[in-house]
Amino acid sequence: MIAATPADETDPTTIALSGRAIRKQYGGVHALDGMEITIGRGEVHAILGENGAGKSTFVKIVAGVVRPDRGAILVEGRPLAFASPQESRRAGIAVVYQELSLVPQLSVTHNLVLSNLPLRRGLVSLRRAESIAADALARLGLGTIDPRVPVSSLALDQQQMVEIAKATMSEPRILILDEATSSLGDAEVQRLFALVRALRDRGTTVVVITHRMHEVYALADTMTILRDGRTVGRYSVAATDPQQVVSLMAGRDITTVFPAKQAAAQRQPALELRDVRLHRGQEPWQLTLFKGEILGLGGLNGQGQRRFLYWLYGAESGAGTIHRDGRRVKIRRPSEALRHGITLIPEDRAVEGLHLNLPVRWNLAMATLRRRSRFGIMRMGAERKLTTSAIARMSIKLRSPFQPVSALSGGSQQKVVIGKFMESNPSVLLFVDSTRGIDVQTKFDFYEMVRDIAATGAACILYSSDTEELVGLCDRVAVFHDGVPAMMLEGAAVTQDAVVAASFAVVRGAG
Amino acid sequence: MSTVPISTRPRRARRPPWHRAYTAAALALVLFVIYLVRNHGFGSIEALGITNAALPLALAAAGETFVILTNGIDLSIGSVITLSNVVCAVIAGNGHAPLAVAAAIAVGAGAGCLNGLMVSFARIAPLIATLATSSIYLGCALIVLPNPGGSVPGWLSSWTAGSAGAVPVAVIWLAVAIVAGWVILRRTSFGINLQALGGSESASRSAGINVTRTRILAYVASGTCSALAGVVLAGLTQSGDPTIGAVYLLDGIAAVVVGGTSLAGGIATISGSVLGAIALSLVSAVLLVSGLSTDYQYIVTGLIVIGALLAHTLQGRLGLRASRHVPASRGEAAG
Repeated sequence: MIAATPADETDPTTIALSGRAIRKQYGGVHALDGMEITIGRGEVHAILGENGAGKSTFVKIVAGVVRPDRGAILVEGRPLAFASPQESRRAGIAVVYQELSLVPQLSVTHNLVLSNLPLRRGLVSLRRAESIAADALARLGLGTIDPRVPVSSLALDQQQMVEIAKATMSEPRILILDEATSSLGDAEVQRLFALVRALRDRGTTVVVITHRMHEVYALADTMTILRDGRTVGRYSVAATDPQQVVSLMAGRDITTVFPAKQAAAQRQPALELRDVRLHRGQEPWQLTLFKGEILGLGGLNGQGQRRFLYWLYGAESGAGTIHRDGRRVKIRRPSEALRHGITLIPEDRAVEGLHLNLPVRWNLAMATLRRRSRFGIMRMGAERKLTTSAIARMSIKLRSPFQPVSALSGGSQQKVVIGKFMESNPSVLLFVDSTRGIDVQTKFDFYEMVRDIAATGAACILYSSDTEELVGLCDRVAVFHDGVPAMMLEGAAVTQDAVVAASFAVVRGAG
Repeated sequence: MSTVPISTRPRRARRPPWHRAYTAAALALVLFVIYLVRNHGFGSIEALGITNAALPLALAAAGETFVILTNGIDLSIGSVITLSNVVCAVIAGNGHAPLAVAAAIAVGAGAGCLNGLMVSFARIAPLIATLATSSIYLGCALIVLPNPGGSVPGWLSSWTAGSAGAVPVAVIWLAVAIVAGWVILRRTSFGINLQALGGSESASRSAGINVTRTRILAYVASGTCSALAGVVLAGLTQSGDPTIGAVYLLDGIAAVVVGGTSLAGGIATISGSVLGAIALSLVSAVLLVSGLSTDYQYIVTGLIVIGALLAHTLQGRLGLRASRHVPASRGEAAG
């Protein structure tokens, strides 16, 4: 592994952005503890680190949203005064945040021009706003998005692309992408990459923050690795392999990323799905789910993978019958799915999976309330026993079971979500993009947890927009196109190349 | 730029929330038709009566719309109407009519500004902050004018409650309110910033909008509109009355709701609020010509508010279905 030679630090013309001894404390916790960074002009630079390493704090400081306690940030040699987001924007910095910073009720046009409304005689010129917005969208190949519709009517990936259009329309000298790909499918990611390369070729410096290793390798020239708020080092991407990066981030060696797959010896069906049609005019299709397997759902984003899982969970309409041990089971709503042991782990843990302000213990107990109550009164002893075992089983790190969930780290929150559903002993688990935006270590824990769950004989279906994850974790991968599992990859055929190729092949084949 | 297939699809265009004002317009129209049928005709006297009743409510509702748009609420509109009403009548009664109007408007704007400062800097929830200031403003009004009295000159009455030929002046003011409201909300930076703030405060902040100033200005706009309502009432009654504003608080909020403004913030039309106010003020006229006691108007108003909310929800659902909208957390529209 070779540490990349920093661009000549005494020559400000070669350095776009540098940070010196940046410190930031939240409460008693050091988010940044003397971070150092040097980013050369015109390079694509990745910042890597586990959750809590300080990446987001750094981005917020550069963006002018958060003020550091100590330290300096120089933009092309000039110090940033950390006054406001406007100051940062004037310095030529644009940020695409992980959490969308769009106003859902406003139209795409208004969102795009919001920070710089085009005025004519004191009034906002709608015509000019619309042409500015149309230009910005066209530059990203987003001609299919109607700029007049409210952002809330767009799909999540479209919203993310609008967000990116918003950041790039001011032609920033430094573009920061903070987990910008976490809600994008492969096609959008490819388009974003093409845009980033085009910007770099025009001299823009791009800073990328991502948890996806393959994106770093596809895109970045250099990287800075952070650990616990400190800089581990600056490295050249070409001279460092992923394994090394992971161990540098974690501060230890992680030999295997994914747990070993199960041998497909005994294959007992867990569920048989017959004559499934997710929407009208579709050829009915069949799918058998086996006990103890992890089935991945692949394909481009938005090909009905989520809808399929929500249909199976009784939360979306669709035709088809579900059979278990030869008998038909009827699932018309989630409560019936739960009764039949089918559980869905939602992707947005903050919105669908958890009551953030309530204690961990109540969150864990929530899914099995009815079972533990007598005449509507909860039996507290049973609750204590159950939650204690869940906390131990999922090895959730906490101070007290009465801590609110919002006080836990993202990874622990995820464990609470899964732990909550595990207590009802499900036989089929549906995971909807569960690792979106979580750090590497938490992902590893998640993979092992899913594998352990499968080893107990439960069947798992996992939809992920991260192909690497599908390939590493799943025994079989069903590649979806337009609501149909158009291709099934199995065993040795499950490779990154095969899944990506199949995703695009099925589109061409059907198109 | 790239040959990668596009997984995103075009969706049906959904224009700004005009359609939310349709409910109020339809309601006003229906009530007006009932009135016409029952009353066997419509003359300038009737027109004057109805529009003069609607104008102060419409102004109060228009002002309240700005605040509700930012996700807040202004419970002081009734008291601000009263305060500006008595200030106007007392000063005008001493023979300084133009000064009276200016003072009343300044008092309203100042009262709104204080509301905004309380909400922005003291960080008191709008509901509580404006409940408290409402009590203060009412107290001030009672000190200024403990009993109904004062007077306003004839020209002020004819400018607010008179007729221009056969057309009541109030009709013109209502039209001005709708047009001005449209321009302010859709065509000024203030209006667009307001909508952004109501939709997402954090997004507005990161877009560089001065959130504090925008929010304070929303309360100032509300106070100013209430002051205008107070002045109009002074012209209408040709005097001041320290109890005059109370009814406009709940009716004003009701008109905003009927007009389609979302109580969750971010979506509003001034035209909807003005039409909602017209509809609500038609209720008592309709009851009167139907031979029913106007005591029923509270029940009818309550039913109308509930009905309008249901209509908006229904409209929303139908709209969503038409545009194949799926909540973002459920991802795609397979279709």
